[in-house]
Amino acid sequence: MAPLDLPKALAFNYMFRGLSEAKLLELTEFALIKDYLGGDLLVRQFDSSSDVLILLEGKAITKTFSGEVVAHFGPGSVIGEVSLIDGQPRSANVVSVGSSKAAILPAVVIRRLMDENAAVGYRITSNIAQVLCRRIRSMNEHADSLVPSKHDLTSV
Amino acid sequence: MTELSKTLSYNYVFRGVPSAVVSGIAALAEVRRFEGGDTVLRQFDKGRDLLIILDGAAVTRTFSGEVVAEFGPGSVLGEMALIDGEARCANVSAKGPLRAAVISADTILSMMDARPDVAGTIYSNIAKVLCRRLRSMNALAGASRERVSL
Repeated sequence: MAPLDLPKALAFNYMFRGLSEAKLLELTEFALIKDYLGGDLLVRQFDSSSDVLILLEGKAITKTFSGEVVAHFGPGSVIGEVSLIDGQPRSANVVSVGSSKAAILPAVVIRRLMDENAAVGYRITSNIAQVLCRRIRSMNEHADSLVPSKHDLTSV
Repeated sequence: MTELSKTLSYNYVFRGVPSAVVSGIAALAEVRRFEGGDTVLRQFDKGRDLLIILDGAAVTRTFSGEVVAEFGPGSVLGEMALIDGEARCANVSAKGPLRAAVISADTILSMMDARPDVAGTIYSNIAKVLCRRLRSMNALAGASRERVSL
């Protein structure tokens, strides 16, 4: 399958929705395209990078220590946006499944674009915030089954 | 600057927001009182108001009544619905007498339309807290899975 074209990947991506073509072009110009082999880390846990990665080709996953897959990423997926927002170290390893290709958008470039233009900053932050809400809500729905309780899982 | 204005300006949501803007919001905020046991936010409601606790405490409980989270003065409630417009995700009730500043979604959203720079700051402040919440939920989920798989 042909790799995703970066400008197209950016244009369709939730994070950059609403941005002008000129802004998307700027992002494309500063992106670094990197190839990975199976088992390579796209993101290493505890790293202090805040760069955002967009997977262009292939697949990547996040696993717990016990080997359970907790997240899947495919072409078009955004990886690492939480660190972009909060500047904290990466919370997990993201591993390439087979060969893959990703565009790395340096945090310094994204932040500069956001600082230079208030409307761009608002847009990107708002887009990311909405996705964070969706993730929290969906984890909340599963939370009752995860929070250890002396009662059974049923509430009746 | 009014008392409410000053209190709001110390809140994380308004960090970095010009004091004139905070005063404007404070002027339009309503201070509401609740008694212990009163519902502050009702699950599945479609409200988008933001609440900031001024005095007292509120709690979220599981079905069995166990407290899962407690919110004290300075805590912000309802920020997710402000951002995504979805229904309230939990019941929050007053633990005892409670006083909160209620800021309508209209107030904040129309201010943000007029001032995208301020909007960016507020969203960024809220997004950072959402990140912390997500990280800690991920950690909890990971730990639970570890326990279950052993």
